[in-house]
Amino acid sequence: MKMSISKNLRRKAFAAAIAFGVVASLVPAAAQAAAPTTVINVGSLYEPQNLDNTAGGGQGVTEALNGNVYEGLFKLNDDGSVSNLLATGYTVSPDGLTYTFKLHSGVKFASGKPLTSADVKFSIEKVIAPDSLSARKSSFGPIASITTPDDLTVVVTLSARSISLIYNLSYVWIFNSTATDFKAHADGTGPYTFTNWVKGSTLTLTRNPSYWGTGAKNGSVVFHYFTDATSLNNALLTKEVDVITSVQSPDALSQFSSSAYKINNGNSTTKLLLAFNDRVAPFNNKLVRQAVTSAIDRKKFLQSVWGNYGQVTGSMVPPKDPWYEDLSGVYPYNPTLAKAELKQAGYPNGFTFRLDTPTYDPHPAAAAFIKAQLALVGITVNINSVTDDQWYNNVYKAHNFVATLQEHVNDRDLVWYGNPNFYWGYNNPAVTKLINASEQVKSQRTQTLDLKKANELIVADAASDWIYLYPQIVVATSNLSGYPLNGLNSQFYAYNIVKA
Amino acid sequence: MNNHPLLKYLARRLLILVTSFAAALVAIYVLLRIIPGDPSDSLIPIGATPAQILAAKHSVGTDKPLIDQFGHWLSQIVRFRFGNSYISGSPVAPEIFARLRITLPLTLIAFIVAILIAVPVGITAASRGQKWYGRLLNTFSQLGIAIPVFWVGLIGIYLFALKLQILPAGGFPANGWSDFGGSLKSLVLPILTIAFVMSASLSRYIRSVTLDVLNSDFLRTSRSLGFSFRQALWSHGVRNAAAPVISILGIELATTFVGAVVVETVFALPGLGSLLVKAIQENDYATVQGVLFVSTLIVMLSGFAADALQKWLDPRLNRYANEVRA
Repeated sequence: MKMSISKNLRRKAFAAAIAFGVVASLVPAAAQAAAPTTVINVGSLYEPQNLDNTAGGGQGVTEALNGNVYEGLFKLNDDGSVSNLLATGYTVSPDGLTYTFKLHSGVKFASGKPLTSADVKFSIEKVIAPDSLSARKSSFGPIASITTPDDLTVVVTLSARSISLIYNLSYVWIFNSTATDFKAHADGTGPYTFTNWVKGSTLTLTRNPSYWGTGAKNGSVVFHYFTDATSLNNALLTKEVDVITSVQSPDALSQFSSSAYKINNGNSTTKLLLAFNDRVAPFNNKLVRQAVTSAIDRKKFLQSVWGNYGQVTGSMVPPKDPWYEDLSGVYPYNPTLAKAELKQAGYPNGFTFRLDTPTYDPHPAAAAFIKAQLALVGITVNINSVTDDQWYNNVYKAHNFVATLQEHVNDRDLVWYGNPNFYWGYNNPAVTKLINASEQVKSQRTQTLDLKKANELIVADAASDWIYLYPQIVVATSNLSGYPLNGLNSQFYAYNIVKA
Repeated sequence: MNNHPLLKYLARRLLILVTSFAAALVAIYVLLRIIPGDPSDSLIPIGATPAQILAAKHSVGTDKPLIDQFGHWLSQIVRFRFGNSYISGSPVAPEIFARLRITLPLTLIAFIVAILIAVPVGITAASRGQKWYGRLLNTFSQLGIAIPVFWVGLIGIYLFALKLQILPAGGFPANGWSDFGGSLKSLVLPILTIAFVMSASLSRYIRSVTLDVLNSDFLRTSRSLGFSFRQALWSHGVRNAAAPVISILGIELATTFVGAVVVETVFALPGLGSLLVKAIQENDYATVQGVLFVSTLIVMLSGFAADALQKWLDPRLNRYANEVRA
């Protein structure tokens, strides 16, 4: 009996040991399986021109690499707020001229090189360099010097206050200062590493296992590039992509009405403008500009193009800018008033003008609509189709135009109205003074108040006619979540995207 | 070489080819500079300062005098160097060869499929033109010529990609030909699209040439000597018909290669055509010149090959030379 109990015990102990061994072998396997491997396929019309946002990389490079491969000291969130990223924080001297930034320790580039203050200095200087093609270069005009007292501290000294400095720094990518070819290679500190770019086809990012922060929730992201909206939509319909970053053809939305897809209506920062040349007749006359604005039913046009999507804001300021207010009621649609204003301005029988119109959607449709609307008040519009190049050279550089249609993508670009040399030639000294002063104030609250005032003056002057704010329509398969909805300045953070 | 008129002919043609090619390259260079616009325009953001505009021009070299630019280009091209893209900064040559890995198989396979369709269709339409199926094939070829290639592509996408979901709607695998099955699958619809349209016009030529052969004396003689219709057509008709058809094939291949841009756009394929369109839109002169160098060379070489094959197939050239020598 004693012997059988002992044998039984041995059997049980043996079984327990086997079970323990099996469980122990599973633990590292379980830990390894935790790293996500999902591939997220993103469809886009905006392929980068190159991989350097200071060398003409274009809208597409921001979409693919901003926040995914490259990071800044600060991050522009999807709701328009700015938060710390590579910077743990900053202090400002009482006179507002010296900013001291502290960096996270232990951050490395994908190549393995540690991030230091020298990289930050290099990156800011890259933006303000004489040969820089960064769209943000002029924003950093007040920077007088950049010093690096230690590896984790950067001191930026300004020649004048710049309340938007922190916001502007969210656009500055921190490059590896020892790298050489920034146009074809990307070595960033972000949650992804740049893997491959097949031009005209795909750009692949792979999850960075050594990322200093919270790792990406997916294994890799592949951006698929298309040159026309129909092909892009077809790719989503056939599940070749999981999400479209920005739907450009409103007619296509009905294809995604089933429960297999989700249509998201976010806030964009892209405005469609009827830009007058405020320097030349007849649009150097405020009354004429007001008349034209009153003669166009913007709500009707928006509805005919986008249905229930998009917004008429009545100004250059999108809702995500802190100084946004709805000014669409300043010049509501009123053709009777428009005719009276034209008569008062000395054009009782209307007039004729040339409208330079880019050839891509929705500009031709907008031009046709405007032509029809203005005909009702006696104004004849000659639509002149122009290529991108012609627009850039004749309208933007040479100012050889009377009126033009154009879309402006960026947020916080009200400041262009403070520059009398900008292509539309709006020149109101009070507005210029307000805009210049708004950058040198001590608080963001004061900046917001100043720019609201400036915006109200600009709208009252009918400096341009802001036809509508584009919708930001992101369409995805219904099992996808975690993608950004607002697309501020075309960025598309991919690291939170998961598939159910 | 005097005893070999074919060689003499080929040498003469080669000289003309080289001269034409050089003239084409210079013409492309000049025409690009005449078109309004500057390569730096694509790099400049809204709100760019005059200094940035100048910096952009400097980065692409258009701030230099035109004659200096031409000299630089000439020094590169004689060494078969295409330089770097003005926009992406990457070398142009590797990009072109990467794109050729899609456009060449696309064009060549479509070409072969088109021939496989066009030859029986054309011969049947000619020899059985009075039968209902002969008339049907004739109508097919007329339809194929009338329908634009992009529309055929869109119909194919609608049927096979969106409705039946058996083929992709477009694109090419991210890892290229490493994913061999995926790559082939991506090319099926584009190949069939090109082949459908090309076979339509080819079958018309083959039908026309076949009709000429059917009415010829040598075919009648061959039949009177006891050959069956099929034997006579195959042994005598085909060879006589081949020479003009080969000439047409050379032109069709060249046209298809250059025209693949439409199909590449419809199917979002990263081929040579789509590279050319993008480069033109961006005024990326270096890339445009590089692509046109390659495509012009391919077009001229295919024409040269067609001429050479035609002359080789046609024995009357050699017989004439022998008679002259005697």
